[in-house]
Amino acid sequence: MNHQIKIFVMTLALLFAVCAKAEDINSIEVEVNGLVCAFCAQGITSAFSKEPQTHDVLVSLEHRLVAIELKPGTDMANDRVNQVLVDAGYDVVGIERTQRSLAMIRQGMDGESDAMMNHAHEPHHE
Amino acid sequence: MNRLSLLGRASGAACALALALSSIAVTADARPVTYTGGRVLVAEAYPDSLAWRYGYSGSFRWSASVGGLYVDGFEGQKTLDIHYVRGARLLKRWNWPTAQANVFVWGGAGHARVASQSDVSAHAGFQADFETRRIYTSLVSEHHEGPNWRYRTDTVALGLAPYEHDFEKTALWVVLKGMRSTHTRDDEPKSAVMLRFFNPKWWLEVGVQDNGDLLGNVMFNF
Repeated sequence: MNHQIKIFVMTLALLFAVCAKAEDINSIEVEVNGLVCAFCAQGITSAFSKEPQTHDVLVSLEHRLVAIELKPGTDMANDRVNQVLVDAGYDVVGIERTQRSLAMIRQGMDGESDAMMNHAHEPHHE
Repeated sequence: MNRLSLLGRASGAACALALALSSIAVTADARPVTYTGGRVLVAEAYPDSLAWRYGYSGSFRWSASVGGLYVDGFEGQKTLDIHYVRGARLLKRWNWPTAQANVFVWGGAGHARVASQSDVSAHAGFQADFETRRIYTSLVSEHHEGPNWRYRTDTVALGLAPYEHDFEKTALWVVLKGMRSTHTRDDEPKSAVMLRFFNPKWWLEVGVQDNGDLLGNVMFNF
C-alpha cells in the first residue's frame, strides 16, 4: 500500500512539474511582410539571437511568421520585437503572445500543411 | 588566354572558390546589402571575366566591400584588372505580404591595370529587384571608369521557382538572364539559362549561355 501511495505522489509531483514547465513557456508570434527569401530570414534569426531573452527563433516564409521562444522568466516588449524586425528591414503586421513552444508551433504548421495537401487530394463529389 | 591563367589573376579566397569552379564560368546578381552583421563572399566567372567580392553589412541599409574584377579581351586584346573598395546603400525597400522589392546603389574607387599600365579607377552601380517565393526579377547595371577607359555591364534576370521553398530548405530556381558588357571582345547582348540553388548559408548558380559557354556563380553568407 505504501508503495502505491509513493508512486501516486511521485506521479502527481511529475505532473505538477510538467504543468509548471508548460506554463513557463512564453513565445511571441509575429506576422511579417516581406518574408520571401532564405537569406533575409537568416538576418532575422541572427538579429533575434542577439537578444538576451531569446531561447530559439523560428522563421516560416510560407506562413509569413517569425516566432521567438523566450527563456523562462524573461520577456521582450512588443516595441523591442517591432524594432528588431524594422532594423532587419521588415514590416510588422501583428504581434501575438502564446504559451506554445516553437516545437508546438512548428508541429501546428506541419499539420496545417498536411491537411491542405490531404484536402487537395480528396476526390470531389458533385 | 586560357581559364587557368585567368584564375591565376584572381586573388585571395575568391581564387580558391573560382578554382573549385574552374570547369565552368560564373555570374551573379546577389544583393549588395544583406542584414546587420551579415558577411558575404561572392565569386563569379563569366567566359571572359572573373570577379570576387567580400562584403560586410553594417545594417540592412548599407554595406562596405572589397573586391576584384578581371576582364580578358578588354578593348580588343587587352586585359583589365581592377581591385576596389566600395560602399553600397539600400535606397528604398517595399515589403508586401508575399513580395519584396528593393533599389540599391553603390560606388567605389580602386586601382586598375589596363594591359600593363596602372591607373586609378572609380565605379558606380545600381540594382532594382522584385521577388516573391515563386518569381524573381532584377536589373543590375555597373560602370567602371579610369582616365582613359571605361567598362560597363548590364544584366536583367527573370527567375521562376518550380515550387515554393521555405527557410532552412534549399530552394531551386530557373533563371533566365540577358547580359551585355561594353568595350569587350564581343559587345553583343547574350542570354543565359541558369539553375539556382540556395539556402540561408550559400548560393550556387550554374547554367549555359546562348553561345554554349557554361556559367555559374557561388556565394557564401556568414
